[in-house]
Amino acid sequence: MEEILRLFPTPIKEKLTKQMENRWQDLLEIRLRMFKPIELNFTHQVEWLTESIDDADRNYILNQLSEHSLYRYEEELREGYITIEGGHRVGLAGKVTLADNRVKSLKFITSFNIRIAHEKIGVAQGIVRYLNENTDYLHTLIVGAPQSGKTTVLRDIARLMGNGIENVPAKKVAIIDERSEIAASKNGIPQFDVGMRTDVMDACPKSSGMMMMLRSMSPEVILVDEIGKEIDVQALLDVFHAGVTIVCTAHGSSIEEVKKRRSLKHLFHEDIFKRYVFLSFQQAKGFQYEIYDEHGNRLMKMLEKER
Amino acid sequence: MMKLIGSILFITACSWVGFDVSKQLNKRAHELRSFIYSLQLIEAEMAYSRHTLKDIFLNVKRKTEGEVASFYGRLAERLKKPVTHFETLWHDELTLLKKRSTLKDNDIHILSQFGKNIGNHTIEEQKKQIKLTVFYLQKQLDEAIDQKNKYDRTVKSLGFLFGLLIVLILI
Repeated sequence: MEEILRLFPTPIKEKLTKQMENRWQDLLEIRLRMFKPIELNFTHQVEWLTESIDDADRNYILNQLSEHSLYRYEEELREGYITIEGGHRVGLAGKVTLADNRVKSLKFITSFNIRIAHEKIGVAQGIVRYLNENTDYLHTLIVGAPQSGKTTVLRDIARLMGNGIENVPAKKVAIIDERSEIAASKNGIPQFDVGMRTDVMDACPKSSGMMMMLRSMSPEVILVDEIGKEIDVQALLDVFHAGVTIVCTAHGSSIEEVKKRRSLKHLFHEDIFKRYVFLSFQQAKGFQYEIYDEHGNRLMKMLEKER
Repeated sequence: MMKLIGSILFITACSWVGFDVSKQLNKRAHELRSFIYSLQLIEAEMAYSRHTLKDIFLNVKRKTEGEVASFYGRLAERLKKPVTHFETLWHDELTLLKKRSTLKDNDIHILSQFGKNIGNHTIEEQKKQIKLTVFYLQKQLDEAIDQKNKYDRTVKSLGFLFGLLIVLILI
């Protein structure tokens, strides 16, 4: 967890190390707010550090986040997050500056939300088994609320599809990793295991990335995270009509709710998806998933104690 | 006989001092040119490859030579560890550079101003600052070349003539 600890000034780093002991595996988020205690969100509980951050600490953290190179993050600051080494996403909030009524940049950052990326090899083993018919994978939509493990599951699905499973040989997999969270690429090289036959288009907008991959890399499966914009949907439809299997995730508290979303309407109009995976996470129950087919029949329900 | 050998040695030494001063003049122009080049490299790396400062400095180190290269090399090396204020780091390294290179106070001052803004602005702002710094450095370079042209031959012959003068007086 060195890549996270290095973000903090020494006093906070020491306190944090002491409080964490060996529980990094259970840590989901570290939340920092100016002049407020630091919040640690674990799988099953919330803890607080008495330490808070002031102006100097904030600047220190920002400098470490950007490695003294803020010019790299114009786009990210506009979107409100920075992904650091190890695929951890740091969400930011503060004062926004506008230009022509559009967000130009984020100034005076006052809140940081460091989401710890966990590589859980094998987490999607039970899921992938239901996503194929004979030796081909089916178009799949993964739905879940924030923090329900969508990206973690998608990463493991990529690994399993790219390496092959018992009855399905390895496929040519393409990942469009707009936020560098799925593969956590560093200079284009994935730091997480995403499978043998997997190609990653890192930091690329989903819609253009899908088209680039489709044209040049002849993928059999395309994986994208967090679809939502209409332009993404348009690209997904193109991928669908090109005969490439789609596996994607969407935010939502239920599959029905996602189906109602206006921007995603076209996707459901054409009945693309043959499998739906619903992920949920509650602090008491842990991580759960359910798999449905296109008619809404539940194929399986699974509860894992450990997320 | 001893006198002759002594005189020749003395004149050689004086001429050598003259040549050395002329070399310093040349070297300053060369180092300024190197810095201008390095800033242009930094601009390109910031705008196109979007590397971190550390990686940019490493690349610049590879593409430059002499004191300029070691200046960037040391910066990159120190950026490998967590750094609280980049500005302090830049300033420290400039102090060392001043001792080791032929750059003058004014040259160092321009670079020190640049260090205050590097890394914490948008690309557009960075480009502006690099342009401004290059502009000032170019002025220093023009001045250095001017001085070189003016004094280069003079100091060379002055060294020789001074040696000759002393020898003649003493003989």
